[in-house]
Amino acid sequence: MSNTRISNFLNAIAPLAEAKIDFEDVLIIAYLDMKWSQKSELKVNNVIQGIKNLSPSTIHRRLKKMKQSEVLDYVNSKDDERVKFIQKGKNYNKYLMEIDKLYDFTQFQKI
Amino acid sequence: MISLNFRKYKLYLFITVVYFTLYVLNNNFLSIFTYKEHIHFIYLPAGMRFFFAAIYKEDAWVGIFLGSFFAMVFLFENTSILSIIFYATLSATVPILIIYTFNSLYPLGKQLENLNLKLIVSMAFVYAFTYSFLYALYGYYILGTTLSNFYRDWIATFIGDLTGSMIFLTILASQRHRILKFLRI
Repeated sequence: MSNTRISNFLNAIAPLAEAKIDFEDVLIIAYLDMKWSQKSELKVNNVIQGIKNLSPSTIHRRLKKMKQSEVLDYVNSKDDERVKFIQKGKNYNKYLMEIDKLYDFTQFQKI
Repeated sequence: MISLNFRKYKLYLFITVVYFTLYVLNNNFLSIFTYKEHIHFIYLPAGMRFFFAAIYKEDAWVGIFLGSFFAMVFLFENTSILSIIFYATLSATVPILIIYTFNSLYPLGKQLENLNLKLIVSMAFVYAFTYSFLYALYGYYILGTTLSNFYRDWIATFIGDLTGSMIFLTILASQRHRILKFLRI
């Protein structure tokens, strides 16, 4: 009986330590990481074209948010200043670690 | 019936040991936040007794009282036994009373199914406010502290209990997956 209470109590306080990670971010990060490992330089449009599961406005919104939190950074192209490339931000690795931690905590069940 | 009582004794012992340990650790490792004897600007046991009170209600009373009592006897040589009994009684009673009061105003549910973060923060706030007031009042009327000391003690205890509760609950929230896994819930 008290186990249910503990569980309900812990669920109620969960937002205090909720990881601020969105599934959409994980998808974008996974895509970026894959492309960077292939030595590709990525623009926002490439991400929009590359991820079909998310709408362009969602991608724009999530990229903007990750830029604000310094997970990602934009760098101007040397050839054309109007073109911006996406790069890893100051907090990129920290963010990856948070995703990893969240993955570790997730308990998958066989169905 | 006997096994049921044995379960309760185990619970009392568990809460006593855990509470005593956290009290001593808080006193030793967070001594930098000590305002004066018994008063800390970060007081983690406040969060722990709030948690136990919410889960076990009146069953938590004995454990919190004993844990608090033994910790104070162990740590504070100069405090009179009467004061220690009063502080321990206050520590055990106030959080349980707050839980019951809130439950009568906003039914939390038998299994705390209606509990949410807003309610928890409100309860922690009211609990810290009430506990710190009664604590300072005891100092003023029984120990004969001055009125300005009464206000200072009240504010310091309030800050300590509230920050301690919130930090403790945040730690608990960050470890919830491990706790649930450990309890096999």
